[in-house]
Amino acid sequence: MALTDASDALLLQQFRDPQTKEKAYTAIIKKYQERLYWHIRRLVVDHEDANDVLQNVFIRVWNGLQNFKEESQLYTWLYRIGTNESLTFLENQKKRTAVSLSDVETGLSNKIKADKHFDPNRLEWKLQLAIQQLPEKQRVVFTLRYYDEMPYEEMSRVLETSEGALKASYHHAVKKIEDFIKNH
Amino acid sequence: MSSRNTIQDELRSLNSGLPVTNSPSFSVPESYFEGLAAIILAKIKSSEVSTHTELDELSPLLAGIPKVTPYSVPSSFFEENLRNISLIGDETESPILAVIGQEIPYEVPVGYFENFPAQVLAKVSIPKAKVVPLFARTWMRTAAAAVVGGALILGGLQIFSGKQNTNSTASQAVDTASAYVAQTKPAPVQAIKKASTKDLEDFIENVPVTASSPKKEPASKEEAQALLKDVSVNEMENFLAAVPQADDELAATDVP
Repeated sequence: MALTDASDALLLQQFRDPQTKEKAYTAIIKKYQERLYWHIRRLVVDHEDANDVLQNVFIRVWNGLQNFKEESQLYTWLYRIGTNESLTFLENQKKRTAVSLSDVETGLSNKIKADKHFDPNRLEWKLQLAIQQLPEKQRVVFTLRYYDEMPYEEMSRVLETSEGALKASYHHAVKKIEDFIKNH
Repeated sequence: MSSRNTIQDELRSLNSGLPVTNSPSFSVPESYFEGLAAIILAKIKSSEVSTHTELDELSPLLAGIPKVTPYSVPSSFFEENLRNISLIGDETESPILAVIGQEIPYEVPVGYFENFPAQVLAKVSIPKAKVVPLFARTWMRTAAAAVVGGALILGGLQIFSGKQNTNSTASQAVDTASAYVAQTKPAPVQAIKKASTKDLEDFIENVPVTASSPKKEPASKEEAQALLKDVSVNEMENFLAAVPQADDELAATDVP
């Protein structure tokens, strides 16, 4: 069985062994890099920014995995780190350029529009623009539920928010996106 | 079971009217327990709302949008081609989002995911530069402490010697005046008499009192007496009282 197919428990065990630490770490990256990449990319839009955030995520994984208490699934922990790093990145971007949140959202929308394949008439592009109009945390809730089809129970562990609040947030997000698509 | 038998024995012994039989009075539908697990499982499944059902109920418009993120990805970007995930046809599927789908149209550089693990591994494996504390050596700390202590002791000695000089200056006022009288020529007494108190104080402060001060001709006793003729005994006593004794001053001063 290739290492990338190994269960998370086995990978953790091998990570904690100095002899197999790097191999296990590489396997963890290969196993989760794409899922995490796209989750991050949907939030930060730009590939270079997503790359920076993704690298930060896995550096934190390297530093923190030894003490991972396995109270949750490994991918839940990874998603939590990925989400926090993405939100921190957006917050820092806001501070760095001294712009308001709405300006950051406008900036992200502009990045979407700057994509060479952007087509304003295509619904999938409108959906990306609609997503960027949402507040940051609501954006996370929507993308996790819509793209990753994450159960609310799992999402509450990732975002450390109650299931009820997440359901309400998702429902509001859907309404907002619907209104945006109808009006644009 | 043993506790049940004990209870029954106890009830019999008490001639209790309570039923002692093991058989419950209630009836249970036939095959109830055989089918119970399946019934509960079906209820659990029906209570889990799929994202598609949920979205379809919330927003038929969004449910109808294909779940396709329009960003493109080069075919050789990942180790294997990214699968196009589309929503499986489901009568409860959101019509709008079913059209959009989940494909993400963002472009990713060629070979990105192939090279990514190695890039991250290189970053985490870089040995960190050794951090050497500024004051790592004990002897440096000891030397620093010694310098500070020495400075404090010297400062205290300076203050102490300064006080003593003040005392000796006061007691040598007369000698200084006599030396001055000896040094200066005609009418020194007249000059001193004319000098104000401030002038005399300035003179005392500015004229160095050293052993090497040249004494050309020591003032005579008569001249010294003439010099202090106008100074009353009370004034002399007051003057001496104003200048504290060396021991008193040291006791009052906190020398670190």
